[in-house]
Amino acid sequence: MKNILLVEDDHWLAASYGRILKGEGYEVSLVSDGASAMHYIEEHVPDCIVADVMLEGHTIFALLQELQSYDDTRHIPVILCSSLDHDVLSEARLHEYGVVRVLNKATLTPDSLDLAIKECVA
Amino acid sequence: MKGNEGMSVNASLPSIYVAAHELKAPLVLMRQLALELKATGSDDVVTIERLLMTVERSLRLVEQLTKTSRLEDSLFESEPLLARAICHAVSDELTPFAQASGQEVVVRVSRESGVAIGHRSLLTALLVNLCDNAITHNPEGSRVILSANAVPSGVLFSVRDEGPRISHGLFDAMRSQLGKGPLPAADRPRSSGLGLWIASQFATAMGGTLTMTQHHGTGITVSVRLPHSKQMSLL
Repeated sequence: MKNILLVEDDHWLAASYGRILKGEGYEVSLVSDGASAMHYIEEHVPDCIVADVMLEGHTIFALLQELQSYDDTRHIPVILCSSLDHDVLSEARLHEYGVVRVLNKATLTPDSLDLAIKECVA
Repeated sequence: MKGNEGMSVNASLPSIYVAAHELKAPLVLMRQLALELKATGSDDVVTIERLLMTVERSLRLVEQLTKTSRLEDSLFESEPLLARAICHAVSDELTPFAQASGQEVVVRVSRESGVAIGHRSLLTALLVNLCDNAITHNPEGSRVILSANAVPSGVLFSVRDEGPRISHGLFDAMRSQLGKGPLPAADRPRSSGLGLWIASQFATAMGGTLTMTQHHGTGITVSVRLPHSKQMSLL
């Protein structure tokens, strides 16, 4: 079973994404900030990270830079889910941070999230 | 008595971009919860309740934004307000949201807190705003403490959360921004501080001031100090 680490500080949104992904057969772990994500990754390397951008404390970019600093974490594919304007979040520019997809929360559907994860972990 | 006489309110209305962005988060959540209900075909009571609470939160924000945009044109009649009654009314309004979030609103009103001078609707909206914000940022199982205490020539209403500690830099930026307008998107995580800005506008309109304190462990306290009613001292 593929393990997805979900980094989202809106607890209800995280729980909803989590239920949908579990229903698709993934093992899902939830954390609400970058520091907790890093602690989790020290113990378990997930197959894919699905993360919000604007988090409590710091943005996701601190975590992305941390992941790129280590050989065993820089390969983890990251999907960003954000309500920010997509001209701010360019997939091409974020590729060097391990970001493989940027999804718009305002148009995201359970199917599109599942499809994006399947493309990453296939 | 006019609470906003001589006060500078509404000095910098938030941009449409900031207000729209702030409303995007609850709209995204409502959409996701509705999609989940549709996808699973369930009538899960918890999800439906969360959907309703999020609708109500969004409506509160819209109402407060509307009220803020009218502050300059309105003359708010100040009146004596019993601190205890206001705090309990706020707690009653937000307890369903707190419970749905696995939290508790605790009211602590000192016997000496007495009667403040302010505007009922503005003070209630201000405290609802602060408590709403606290519940949103608090972890499950935590508390929001709403208190009222007598201070020299005034009543201090405070809302304390138990949310995660934020960096000194961000806290200082938020504190210095009180009353000036929401922070630019690049300078803040998650929220623009629009709620705090609205609260500071309401406080100013009543002749009060908003202050923020970060605690050593976890949590932030936001307080508003309003004048004490002199009527009580005559009794």
